[in-house]
Amino acid sequence: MLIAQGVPREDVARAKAAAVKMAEAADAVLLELEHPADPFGSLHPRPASGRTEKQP
Amino acid sequence: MSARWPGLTIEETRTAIDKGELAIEEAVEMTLAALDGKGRQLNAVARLEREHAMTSAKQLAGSRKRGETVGPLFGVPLAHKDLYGRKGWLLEAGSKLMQGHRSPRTALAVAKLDAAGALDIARLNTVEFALGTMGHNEHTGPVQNPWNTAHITGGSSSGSGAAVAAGLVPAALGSDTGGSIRLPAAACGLVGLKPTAGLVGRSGVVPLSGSLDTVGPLTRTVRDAAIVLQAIAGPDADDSGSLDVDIPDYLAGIEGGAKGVRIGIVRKGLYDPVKPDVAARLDAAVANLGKLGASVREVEIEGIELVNRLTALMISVEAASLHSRWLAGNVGDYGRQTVSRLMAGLFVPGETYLRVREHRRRFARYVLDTALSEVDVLFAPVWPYPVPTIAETGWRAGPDYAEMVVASGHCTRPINYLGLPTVSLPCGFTDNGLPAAFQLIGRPFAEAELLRVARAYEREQPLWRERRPSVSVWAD
Repeated sequence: MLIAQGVPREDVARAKAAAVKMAEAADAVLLELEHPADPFGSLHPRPASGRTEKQP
Repeated sequence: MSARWPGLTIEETRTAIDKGELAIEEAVEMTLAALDGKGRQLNAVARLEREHAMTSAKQLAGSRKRGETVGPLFGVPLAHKDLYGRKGWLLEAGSKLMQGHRSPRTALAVAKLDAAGALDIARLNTVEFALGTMGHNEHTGPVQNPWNTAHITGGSSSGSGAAVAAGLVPAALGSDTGGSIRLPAAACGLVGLKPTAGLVGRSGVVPLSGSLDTVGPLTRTVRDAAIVLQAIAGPDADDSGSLDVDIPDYLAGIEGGAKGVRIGIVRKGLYDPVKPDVAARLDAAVANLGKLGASVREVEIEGIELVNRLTALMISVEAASLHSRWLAGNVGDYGRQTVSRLMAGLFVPGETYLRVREHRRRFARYVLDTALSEVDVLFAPVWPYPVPTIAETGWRAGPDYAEMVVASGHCTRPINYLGLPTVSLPCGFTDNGLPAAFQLIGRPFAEAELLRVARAYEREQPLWRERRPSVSVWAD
């Protein structure tokens, strides 16, 4: 759509690359914070070791 | 009648008007002159609304003579970020794209300030569409910091920060999506209040991110922040994020002190990018809070250091969605930094965005059930480094630029992600002579508690008694 509207191809390509980078960074963060054994998650980041885990 | 205005707080202005020491029309004329002079010198002013200001001043003065009941902001001249609409006024949002656009309506927050008796007299410069933390704007130029004009004010409520710090107005509304009230408030030595998401209606304010936008005041005193919040808090039928909750009297207990308040320092994660010069000021602030009788300890919020990136993604996607129709065919009308972030947001996978939104909900629950069940208030930095110069932070200023931009929101964006209320407070000066600041963060709708602790700190550590900015109404 953007290219059809006159946005230069290189600008669109740059935006796509930035989006991929942003999404990959977010995916990495989510992977880090979401409980791996519970992907649809009742919670939350993994609790620090020795802490009592609280559920909402 | 009086040479004291501008430079007064809201409370001082009210007192001067009540005692007959200050005429409303005179206050408005002097404020307009100050904004036209020092305000333009700092590049804080987008537009003066002289005719409206003088007409409103005369009307207010007349209502007083007729013995009508007056509001808590009666006769106080204010100016706001150029995102706040008033019907028929220009509303340009620091952009080229909206140049010449006239607002079809008055923002609810502005209408509420009108009802409280305030005088709306100008619009102040903002980062283009509020998308940026440093205060640069490729169309209108950078706003200069009144404490040292070589330095940034931070953004995006950059004109609001400069105008209040220079004493041109006692308060100004800003907006905060990732730190845009707190960062300029902190850089300019002010109190910056970001309310709980949903407490203050946003209709009539140019949006950036429907999920994260909040509106609130920048002031020189905590009590003034409470007065403005009292006036603008409440439900908004035209804002889908608005919540209808009981509004307490924010001034009623504000002098109650900090004794017994449990404060948790979020050191792990949020302090990672904090430079030693800033850390020293933060440590002193923590010690001072302890002297006020608060119990201070460290708390952990696992993963808080990672949330900045998730918030940045949400802002990009939601802002891109808002701008998608304008972007096509108008890319050249946006600043380079703005358009690069907006266009990237168009291409983020929907699945990633939705996962972030779902994580946001669960992360907020987690913080309430852990850190904020162990303490009453969280303590965190605002800027992780001393307020930088305009030259250091310009577009492609150098190899450190990108890192500085990301780090600028490291401590502020996570609080928008959590939707929590927070107040930023000055805590002395770093070695470059610019203000340092910390933020206090509370549970949802705990603004009254935050303001009480902030007021206790301010009473013992009054920045504004110590020094005044070099470009200000006090410098003549």
